[in-house]
Amino acid sequence: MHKSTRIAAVCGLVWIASIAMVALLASLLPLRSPVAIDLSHMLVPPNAQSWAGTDQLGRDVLSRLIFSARESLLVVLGATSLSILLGTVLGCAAGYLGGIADRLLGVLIDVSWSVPFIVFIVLIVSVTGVRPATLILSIGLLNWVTSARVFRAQAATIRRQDFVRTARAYGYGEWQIVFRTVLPNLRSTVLTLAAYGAVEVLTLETGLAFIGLSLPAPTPTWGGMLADGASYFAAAWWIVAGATIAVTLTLASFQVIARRFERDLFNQSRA
Amino acid sequence: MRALGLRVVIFIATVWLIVTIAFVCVYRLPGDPARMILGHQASQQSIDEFRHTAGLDQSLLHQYGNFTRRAFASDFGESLLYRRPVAVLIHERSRPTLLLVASSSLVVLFVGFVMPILLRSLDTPKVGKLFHTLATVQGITPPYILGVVSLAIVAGGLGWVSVIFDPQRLKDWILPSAVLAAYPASVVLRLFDSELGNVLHSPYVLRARAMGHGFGTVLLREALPNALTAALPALANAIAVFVTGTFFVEVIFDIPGLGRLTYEAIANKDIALLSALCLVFAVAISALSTLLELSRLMIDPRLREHHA
Repeated sequence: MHKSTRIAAVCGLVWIASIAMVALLASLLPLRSPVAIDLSHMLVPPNAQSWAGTDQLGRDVLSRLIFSARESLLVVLGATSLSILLGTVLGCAAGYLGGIADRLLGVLIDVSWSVPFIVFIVLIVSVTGVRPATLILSIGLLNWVTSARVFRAQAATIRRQDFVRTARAYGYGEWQIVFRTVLPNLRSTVLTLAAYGAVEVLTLETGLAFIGLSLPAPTPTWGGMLADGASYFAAAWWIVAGATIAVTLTLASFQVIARRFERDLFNQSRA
Repeated sequence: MRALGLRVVIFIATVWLIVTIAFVCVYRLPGDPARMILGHQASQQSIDEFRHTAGLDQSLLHQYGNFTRRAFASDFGESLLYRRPVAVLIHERSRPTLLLVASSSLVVLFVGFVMPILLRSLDTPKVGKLFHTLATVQGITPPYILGVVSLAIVAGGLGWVSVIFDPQRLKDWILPSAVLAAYPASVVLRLFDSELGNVLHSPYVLRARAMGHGFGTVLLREALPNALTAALPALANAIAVFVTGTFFVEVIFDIPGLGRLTYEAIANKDIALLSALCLVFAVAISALSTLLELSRLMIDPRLREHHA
C-alpha cells in the first residue's frame, strides 16, 4: 500500500513535470503553430507528421494540446497558490490568535459555505471576460475556504503544544514563533491541500472552457478542444481522445500526489 | 423546533446574500451593465433609455433596492437572445432539468445507499472492492469527460442509443442521469459503505445480534440511522457539483433544459438571462442543502438537543 502510493505519486510528479516542461518550452519545440489553419489537411488521423492528428480546421492537435497546457497550468498554479496563501494566512491567524479573529473567520467560513459561489464564477467570468488573471482571481478567491478551515484547526492545536510554550519561554516574539514553529509543522498540510486544490481548479477551469468560457477563439484550451471534438467525434475520435487523455492524466497525477502527502500527514498525526 | 427555525432563517439570509452577489456581479464589476445587457449592437439612444428605465442613473442604494425587489418578484427583465421575459423562459426550460435531476437522484440513492446495504448483507468483499475502485476512478473523471466519452462509446461506437436526444424516449434518459449521478453517487458510496462497515462491527450491533435479532432488523434499527448521519454531510458537499453538472450533461446530450439555456446565454453574452439563471441555480443549491440539513435534523436527535 505504502509502496504503491509512493510509486503512483512519483509517476504523477513525472507526468506533471514533463507537461510543465513541454508547455514552457513549447515555442522552442519543432511544433506547428497551434492556430495555423490548413484547410487541405482537415480531420487527418494521427500520422507521422501530426502525431495526434488534425482538427476540423486542419490545426495540429498535439500542438494545440501542448499550448493549452500552458494556460491551464498557469491558472492551476496561480489559483491554487492564491487560495492556499489566503487560507494559510487567514486560517493561521484565526487559529493562532483565537478570540475575535477566530470568531470573525468562523462567520466568514460559514457564509462562504452556504453560498454556492461556484455558480457565480460563471457570471463573473462572463461579465469581465475570460483572461488567465480573471480565472486565477475568481477561482482562487473561491477556493480558500477549505484550506482556511483546515489551517485554523491545525494552528489551534499547534498553539497548545509544548514546543510553542518553550519558544515563548525562551523569549521568542510571536512572529518568530509563527514562522519557526507553526508554519514548518504545516508543511504536509499545505502540500496535501495544494495538490487537492489543483485537482479542483483544473476540473473547474476545463469545465468553464467546455461550456464556452475559454480564452478567446483561436487560443486552444483543453476544455474547448473537448467541446469542439465532441461535435466532430464521429469523423475524428482523436481530438476527444487527446483532450481526454491530457485532462484525465493530469487530474489523476495531482490526485495521487495529494494521496502521497496525505499519507505523510496521517503518519505525522499518528506519531 | 428552534433548530428548524434557525435553518429556515439561515436559508432566507443566504438567498438575500445570493441576490446581493448577483447584483455586485452585474452592476459593480468593470463594464457597463447597460451595454452588457443590451448587447454590442445597441444604439446610444436605446442604451440611454435602458439606463433610465433600469435606474442606472440613480444612486447605488436605489439600484440595489430595485434589483432586490425585482429579483424576489422573479422579474428578471427580458432576454436579449430570445426577446422574451426571462422568467417565462426559465419556467419553460426547467422541466427537463427537473426530470434529469430527479432521475439522477434515483441513481444516487440506489448506488450510494441501496447498493452498500445489499453488498453488506450479501457479504461479498470482492464486489465491494471493485465498486470502491470504480468510485475512485469516477472521482477524478469530471462529468464533461465522462459525458463526452460515454456518449461517444454508447451512441457512436455501440449504437445502443441515438446521438440525438428525444425527451419522449425513456431510453435516452438513462445515460445522462448516470453521468450526472456519477460523482455524488461515488462520494456517497465510498462514505456510506465504510460507515456501514464500521457500524456493523460495533459492539452494540454485536450485542443486538447476540440477543437474537435478525440481520435485517439490526441493520434497519441500529446500523442504518448511525451510518446515515455520518454519510449525509458528504452528500452536502456533492450538491453543488451535482447541480452544476447539469450544465455539462445538458450541453453534451443536448437536453433543452436550464443548463443548456445557460450555455446559450454564455455564448450570446445574454447577461440578463445569465444572471437570472445563476440566481436560480444558486438558490436551488442552497435550498437542497437546507433540505439535507433538515433531514439530518430529523434523523439525528443529537443535533436537535445541541441546538435546543
